[in-house]
Parts: sequence; C-alpha cells; structure tokens
Amino acid sequence: MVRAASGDVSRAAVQAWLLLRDAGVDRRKIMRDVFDEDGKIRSRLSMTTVQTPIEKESLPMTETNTLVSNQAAANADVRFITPDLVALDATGAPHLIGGRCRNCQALSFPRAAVCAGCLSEEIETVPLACEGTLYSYSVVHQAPKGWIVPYALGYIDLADNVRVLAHIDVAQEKIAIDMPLHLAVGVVGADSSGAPLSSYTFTTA
Amino acid sequence: MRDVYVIGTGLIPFGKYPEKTLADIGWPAAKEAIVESAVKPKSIDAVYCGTAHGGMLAGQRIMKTLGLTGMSIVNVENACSSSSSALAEAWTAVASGRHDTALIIGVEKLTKFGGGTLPLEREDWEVNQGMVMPALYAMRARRYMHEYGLTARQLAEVSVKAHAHGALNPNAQIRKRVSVEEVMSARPVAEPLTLWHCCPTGDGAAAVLIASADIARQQKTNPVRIAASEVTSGLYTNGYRDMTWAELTARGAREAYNMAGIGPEDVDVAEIHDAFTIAELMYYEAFGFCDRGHAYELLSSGATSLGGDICVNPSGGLLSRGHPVGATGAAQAVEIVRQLKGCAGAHQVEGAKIGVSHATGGGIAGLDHGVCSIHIFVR
Repeated sequence: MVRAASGDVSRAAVQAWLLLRDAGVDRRKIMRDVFDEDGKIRSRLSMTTVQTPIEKESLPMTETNTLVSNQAAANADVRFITPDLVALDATGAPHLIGGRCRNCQALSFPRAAVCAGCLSEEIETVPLACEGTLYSYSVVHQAPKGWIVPYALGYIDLADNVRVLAHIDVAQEKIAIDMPLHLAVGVVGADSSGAPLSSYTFTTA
Repeated sequence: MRDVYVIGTGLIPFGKYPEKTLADIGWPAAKEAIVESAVKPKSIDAVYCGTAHGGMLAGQRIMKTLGLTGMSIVNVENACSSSSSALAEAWTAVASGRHDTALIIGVEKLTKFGGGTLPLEREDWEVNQGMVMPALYAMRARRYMHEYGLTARQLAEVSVKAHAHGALNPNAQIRKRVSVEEVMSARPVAEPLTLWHCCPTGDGAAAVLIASADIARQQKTNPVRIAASEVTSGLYTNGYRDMTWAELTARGAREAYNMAGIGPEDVDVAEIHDAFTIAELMYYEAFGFCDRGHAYELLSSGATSLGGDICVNPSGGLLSRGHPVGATGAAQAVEIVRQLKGCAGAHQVEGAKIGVSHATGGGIAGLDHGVCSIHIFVR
C-alpha cells in the first residue's frame, strides 16, 4: 500500500505506477485508450486523463485489495505542468512527445504544428530519445511563485539531437557538464492551492 | 537614403518611482530632448515610443501630457530592444524622406511588478519548465567557463568595472562601487550568477530627437550623425546551439559595421547589453573587439574601462545605470551622443569620435535572443 501523505499525492501516484510495473501487472488495458495497435501514441492524452480502471479479475488477487488501492492512487492526478510534452508508455516509463516532419524528417520538441524546416503541416507524433548529455545547467534560487526553489535547470542534448530544457534531479554537487542523463518524472512545484505539480526531469541511472 | 542626425537628447535619473505613472516619468525626458534641439515642438513630424510593459498607447500618454499630439505616433515593443527598435524605425522614416524630424522615447516602469525576476511570455514552453532570464545567462556563463576556463572571480570583475563607471554617473540607478569579494559573496540568483552579476529592476525614461541634414544644419554645435541603424532577430533551432557565441549580435555587428563603413578597431566607445556579467564578455567577442575566448584578457587589460582604447559602458551599463527594459535603447543612444559631444561629465571618454549602442531582447525558446538592434554614431 502506498501511503499518500497530504500534499504528496503525485509522488505517491508515481510510486504506484512503478510498483505496478515492478509487480509485472499487465497494464495494457489502461493504455488502450492511449496507444494504438502499433504502440504509437493515439492522441496526446495527459496522465490525468488516463482514468480507465483495471478490471479486478486481471489483477493478482489479494486479501485486502491493496493493488486496487494502489491503482486508485495511481489514477489520482499526477498533474504535469505541461501535459502535452510527456506521456508514459506501456511499461510506465516516461517519453517526451515530439514531432517528426513527414516531409523532411526534422524532429521538433514540443511537437510542432508546422515544420520550422520546410513549412509542412504533416507532422507525426513520435517519442523522443530518453538519453542525453548535459550541455549546461544552473541552480536557480529566484523564480516566480509555484516553483520549489532552489532547483537545477539544464539543457540536455538528446541522443536524437533535440535539445531539451528540464529540471535536473541530481544532487547539486554531483551535477557536471557533459554528464549522461536519462528521462524521469518528478515533482517540481505546486499550484496556487498547494497541490503538487510534476514534470519530466533528467536524472542519473 | 538621406543622412540622419541627432539634435536633442533627454534622460531622467534611473531608479524606482513606484508612485509615478509612465507618463509622469516619460514627459521630462521627451521635453529635455525637444528643448535641447531648439526646434518648434509642434513641428515634430513623428514619435516612436519603445516600451515592453508600458501598456497601450504609451507614446500618446506621454505626448498628450506635453500637449503635442496629432502627428504620427507609433509604439514599438521588442522586449529589451524596444527603444533601439523605435530608433531604427524613426531613422528609416527620416532617412527615406518620409519625415524630417522624429522623436524617439524609451520608457519603462518595472516597479509595477513589485520585484523579482521579470515575467516572461507564458506561452513559451521553456518558461513553463521554469526558465527565467538569469538562468539562461547563468547557463551561458557555466558553459563559457567550462570551455574557456573563465573563473567566477574573473566574471565578477565585469561587475566591478560596471559599478566603478556607474559611481561616476549621476543618472545611474546604482552609484556604488563593489569589490570582487562583495560580488562573489552576494546572494545567488542562478548559479554562478549572484545579485551583483544581474542588472537591477527599476524605472526610467530617455529620448532622442533626430532630424534631416537641413534641420540639423541649424544647430549651434555640430550634431552627431547616425552612421548605421540595424535590427536583426535570432535564428531558430531546437537542437544543438553554441551558447558561448552570441550569433545574433555577431550578425548584427557585421551589418552595422558594413553600413557605417568601419571595423571594430575604429570604435572608441560602446554601450552594449550587459544585462548580466557574462553578456558583456560574450559581446566583446561578437563585436570583434577580441578573439573568442579572450574576452577576460581584454577586460583585465583595462582596454574597456574609462581611459582605455575601447571604453565599454562608461555609463555603468545595464548592470549599474539600470535596465528599465524599454528605456535602455534610448538611454544608450543618449549616452553615446553625449560622449561624442564631449558633455558626458565625470565619466567622459576623452576624444570619442565613433560610438556604438547595442541592445538585445530576450528570451524565447530556441533563439540566441529574440532581437538585437545596433546603432553607430559618428562625430
């Protein structure tokens, strides 16, 4: 059972997803509204809209229905500040949602509506690489309301040559330019009512 | 295109005026420029007002206070290059013959935001991930330090120079010298940048009046000529970009030098966009004052300080004079013109004949900066 301390629901929800993954739970039923038969993202749904409950019969049965409780926790909002930019795949791992121009193959992040290379509007939605190198970073101490300060912000050059701005989830003294990082999810702030807000982050293995 | 001259300048002391309106701080700068030119106020053909956050009809709100409206008034927004861009528009109008005189105003009241980092465009995806301007410059600094071995101590010396100049400028927002130790031990804003590495927020207004040769001829003293006027925008990429090279300023500088027929070695004085310390060093390189990676050597040689060959930011620059965003471009033009006329006072650059003003407007994702506007003035 994943306990959610008040104000920490989104951390609990992420933990619940990871527990389900590690427990080998088949979560394809959850994902059927999100992914088509080829595993491509059907539409840009945020995690908050993935609400399909798992049928009890498909779950390993327990006495206390703890997994159902975990699923309830997992269905609770992991509220992404920019839900159009990130999604979870069938195994629960996060992917950045990018675009690829059908005409010239140029990648875009966020997914572009029109290609900045050739003006085509034929843009496929594609997951971007999850690994990258840190180009530069800064630990930010002064920011608008809502951010948990201080936070480390960095530019990551992904393996497919897109550059992404992200929070770096690494102890400050261990951050170094050119270090390899991979994609994750983390709580980065709170909205005006204090509810946590998450985003994609980059972290070490 | 005709030659264009500056016949009047105006500036209010930069600082904090929370109780005043935009028009309250704008009209004194405008009036000073008009009075200095000695033209009949009602003969001004056009007004171009640059402001980023001033709201609708900023130029009209200022000009109606002076009872001077009816002519073409256009308001220009280009972030921190707003009034430089307004000057470029005005220059084009007078150079083309469309107008014979034009008043340029730069005005901003940042105290309306109450302090903290300036709000950036909410639609920008990087802003939604937590980007703030100090962080962008801090990342440039971090990468530059990584590639060229610049130390935090060396970077702090940019701030020391800026505040040493500003201490001599009665119109500067900050008129206090700082030491390297004070700069390094100040509170961090976005590491490695501390408070003293960042320009302050505040209010200000400045104005220049420009005119055709016929009208300028009537001036009592030789007016300064605008030899180059340019505006460029950053090139978009979502992939790798060398953040240690100010590509936008480099392109703009080349355009401006070509237009004026000069090179970097001809420049005597420059007011460039030192919103954060690292910016000044990168701009030395982009302007060709030194080779890449050698900006600190140029700074520490004294060449860019008062008394040196190419004095950069004798006014104290954005770091010390202040950076009320829309006002900066006009203030830089005023400074360069006064330097070339020999009336800059305690922070005069002796014998200055050719001067450059430069403002960049940021920041939006994927661009070095949104805009860069450069003017070259000659005596």
